Amino acid sequence: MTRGWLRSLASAFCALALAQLPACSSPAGPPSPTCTRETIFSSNPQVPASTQVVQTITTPRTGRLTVTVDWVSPESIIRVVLAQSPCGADAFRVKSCNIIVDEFPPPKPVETSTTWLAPGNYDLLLANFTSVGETASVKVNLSSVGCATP
Amino acid sequence: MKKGLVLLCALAGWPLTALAQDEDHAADLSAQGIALATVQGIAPAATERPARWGVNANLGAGGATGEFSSLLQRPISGELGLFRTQGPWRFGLGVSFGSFNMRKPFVDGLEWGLQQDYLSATRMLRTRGTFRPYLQVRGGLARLHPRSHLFDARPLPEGFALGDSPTRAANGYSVAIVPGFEWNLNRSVALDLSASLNHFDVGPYDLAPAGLSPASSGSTIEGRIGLRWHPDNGYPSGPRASVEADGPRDAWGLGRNYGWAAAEMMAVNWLAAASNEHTRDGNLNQVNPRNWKTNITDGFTYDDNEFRTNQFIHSYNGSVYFNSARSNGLGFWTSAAYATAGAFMWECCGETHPMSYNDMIATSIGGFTLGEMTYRLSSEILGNQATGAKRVVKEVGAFLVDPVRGLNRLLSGRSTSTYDPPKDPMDWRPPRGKTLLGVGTRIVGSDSTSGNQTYGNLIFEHAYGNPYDNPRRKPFDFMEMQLQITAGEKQPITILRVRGDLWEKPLGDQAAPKHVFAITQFYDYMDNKTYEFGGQSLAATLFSRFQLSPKVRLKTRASGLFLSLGAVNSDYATIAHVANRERLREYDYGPGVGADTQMDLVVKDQTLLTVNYRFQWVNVSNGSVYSKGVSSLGSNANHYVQYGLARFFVPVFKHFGLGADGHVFLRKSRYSEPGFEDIDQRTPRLRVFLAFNSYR
Repeated sequence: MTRGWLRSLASAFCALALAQLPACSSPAGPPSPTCTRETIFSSNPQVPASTQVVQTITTPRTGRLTVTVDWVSPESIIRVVLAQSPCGADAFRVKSCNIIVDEFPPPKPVETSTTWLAPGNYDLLLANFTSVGETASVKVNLSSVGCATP
Repeated sequence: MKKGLVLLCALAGWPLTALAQDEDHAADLSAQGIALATVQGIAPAATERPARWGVNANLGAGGATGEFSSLLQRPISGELGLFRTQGPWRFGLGVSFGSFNMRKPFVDGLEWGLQQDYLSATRMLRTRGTFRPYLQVRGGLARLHPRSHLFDARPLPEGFALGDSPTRAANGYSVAIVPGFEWNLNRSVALDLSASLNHFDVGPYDLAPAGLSPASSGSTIEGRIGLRWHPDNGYPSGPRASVEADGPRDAWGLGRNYGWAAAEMMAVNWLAAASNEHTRDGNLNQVNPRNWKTNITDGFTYDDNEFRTNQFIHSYNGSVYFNSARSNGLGFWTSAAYATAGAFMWECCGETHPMSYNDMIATSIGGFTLGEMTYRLSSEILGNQATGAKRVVKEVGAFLVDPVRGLNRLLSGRSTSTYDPPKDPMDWRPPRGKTLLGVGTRIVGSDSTSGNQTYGNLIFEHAYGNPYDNPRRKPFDFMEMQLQITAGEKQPITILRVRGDLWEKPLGDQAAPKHVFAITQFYDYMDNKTYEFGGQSLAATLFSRFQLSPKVRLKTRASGLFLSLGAVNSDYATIAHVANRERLREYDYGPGVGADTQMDLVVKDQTLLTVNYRFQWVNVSNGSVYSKGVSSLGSNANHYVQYGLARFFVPVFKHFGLGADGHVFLRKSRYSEPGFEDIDQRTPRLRVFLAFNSYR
């Protein structure tokens, strides 16, 4: 009795296993277009002392971003935050942003790359923690899906 | 893949041939332990029972098929299961933490977690001998949850907060068949080799961000290796009191059960990690073997959890690990090792966040401090010879104070049987205990009387033993604790302080010493809207007592503190370097040194006046101005924290009286970074309360 039950169970298992066989040929994977790299954002914003500025970046396609932020004085501390838009200074303060990158100096410039991101809007927050105003230079490059590295 | 399936099928069918060999014995589980012991030449102990409970832990890896395999590949899994034997069957439950990589070109993106919470039935096809094949079927909940930002929801869910998972989880079911075999290494432990054919369906999931059609189901085929372990020796949480002793017993009659203690510690972690994924939906809950490896490889950092989480909840968790051991017959220091092991297990494998120094210290050191405190408190509550409603109240009370001990008493039947209490009062109700239970009002101010806030609060203070006259000097034979629960504050527990002596040395007259030197463990947690301070310290303490008149005594304590890692509210802590940010931390972390002194004026055994002063220097390691060594600007921060308390208590009627105390918290924070203003904080507090003050 028990043996018969187990045989049935094993048969069911084998049937289930064999039923998987047609699916063993894996479906086609994600498309992988050719690699393109482009600068999608560039600016030189003023960042007043003890102030945050927010700049919105639009990525036209899926890829990885490389964010480079530099400023004048090596003594200055500029925090660089990339978050899913919308993420203004108030939203950041009340902790309701989806933060993707959060970097500090030293050293300057701050340069960081993201993981894969979907196309859309992202907000770049620059927060000047020092008592001296700064002029920053911001550059954001997008590496497309076909690129092996950001 | 086809070859793999055929092989798997053969493996699944093969146990049937083995079944024929020993079916006659299959139901006789009670024979298996004895038989194996005999085979291996081990004489079974007279009181030995066959194992009833078992734990299995497995790691698996393989391939994926089905709709989701358009994007997901290379499944790996780690799981922990608990089962109970019933003849040749095992019925159990478990949690499997699995994950997939994404296929090219997203192969280097973060993984997808697949958590499966399942019920299982296992038929052992051979119950004797070293080699034991089995066939398992299982089914339960499946939850697929990407960690990759590529699948972040757009727009974010309403009410999204930093720390929530930005990706959508998909819930469904999974079923699996697992054929395998166990190779017994000894009576308790077996090597477990198996394969699993697993199918899950979680409903349609949009894969458009990867340029793919939606998918709803998938299958995995994994080869697995693991261990099966019977940790209970036939008795979950130790033999009943009525069973003849077969080894050393502790003061409460418990044999040392290292296995069950470890199983409970692991189960607590696994259950917490599993339930977090379902209930919390945070960005740190998709645990799986890939992130275990990453965590261990990347090492320790500091995290940014809420102050309460880091300084209290982690310590409470550590107390649960500690008491998994303590309430299984193990001693203080062994249990402290369990707290440390449980802390590491959680840090490496209980969440996807990097392991953190602060959690390890709070969970291990804070854990054994709170753990021994709760163990001793529950001991004072318990009464092995109480019956009826009184017994129920005692068992429930002890359960609430020390849940894992309460659970073990239930499992072992000790909560419902009558037997002798510990012989030594120090293990049960140490002499010279005192308790203050107060209800009152707490007024917190800032720098002036304007803007004061008033709260109702509950005060519970307890101590037992004393360092001068204790007949025994084991860790925590003298302990003091203070708890304050406040209504209307940001969270209920606003103060928890515990001090316990780890080692004592009377000075001078050994019979009735006036001075005692001790090594004391401190746990401090103060958390309210105006300030936060906490940490675990080891102190060199000098206790002194002076008899001023036949009825009046003066007791003093002076402690020099080494603070392993303190946390204090700070003004610029949100810019701390924190990996995998969950929130913006408002407090700094760092070690330090300090001093804590106290003076008590005691009249007729009642403490009428208490004065306490604490100074603490916290040298920031992570917080306001980066982590040490990371900032080339060389900027660090120092916090100088002081707080003092003066309390009067006036007995009114028998044990009831009126009390009042004033407390002030001072913080001088010095930031060396140019532009970071130094901050001085002063927060006074006044409490008045009606109290019940008992002593024995």
